[in-house]
Amino acid sequence: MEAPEEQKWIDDVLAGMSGSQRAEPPAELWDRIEQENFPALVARSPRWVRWAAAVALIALNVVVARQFTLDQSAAPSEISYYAPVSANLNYYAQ
Amino acid sequence: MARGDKTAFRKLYEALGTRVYNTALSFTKHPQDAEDITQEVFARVFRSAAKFKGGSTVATWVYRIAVNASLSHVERKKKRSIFRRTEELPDTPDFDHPGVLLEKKEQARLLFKVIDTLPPNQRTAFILSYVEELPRQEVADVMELSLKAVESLLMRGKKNLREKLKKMYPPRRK
Repeated sequence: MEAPEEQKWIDDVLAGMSGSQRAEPPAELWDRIEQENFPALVARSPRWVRWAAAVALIALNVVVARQFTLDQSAAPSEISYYAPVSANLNYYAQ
Repeated sequence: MARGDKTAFRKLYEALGTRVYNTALSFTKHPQDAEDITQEVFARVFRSAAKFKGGSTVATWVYRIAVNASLSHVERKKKRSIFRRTEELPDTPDFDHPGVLLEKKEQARLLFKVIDTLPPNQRTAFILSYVEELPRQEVADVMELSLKAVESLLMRGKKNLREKLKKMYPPRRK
């Protein structure tokens, strides 16, 4: 059997949380929850802009390819291209 | 909310966030852990909102998730500390609940110390009834037990706590 003083002390401990207030969670907790459940959406451009960009890219590739082909056909052969250079490298001739 | 409505989700957090955080804090006695559990609880609520059938109130359902998450967290932490134990661990540090009345600080500190010694179901019934101060019927709903079963758990829990406290009497004066 508990002594009255002891009993009162135990009762007081058991009622230790009565009348207490709730602890407030930190304000940034919502930001963490929001970030986890609603990740920021990646901004997407309108569909027509994406199509226009694709067409422009293809057109640019075609132009570059054509230019390259033209350059290839117009380029001089390796021998004729280097011949004047090697001819001018006659350093020891006085 | 089941359709992913952010405004509805925010409202739910505003209504229940503090309660979830406090429940987790009572179980873990650690603010950072309570934050992590609150985050985990709301992620689970968001993911399973579509599955909520409405058999209980939303608050009861969220409380249930919070209790389960808190108990699992405490259990995981206990297991980790057992594996890490190479020598006798020091006593759990005293926990000062931020919302407790100044004149009850010492009693609350002791109360949290002895609550930890209760088996999980008695601890849950005690925390929800005497710390969260939920009505008995709501405690029964959260724990999915009958009212009678909750009252029996509380009676046994209080008896256990009295026995533990008896051994601590007379209190050390500071």
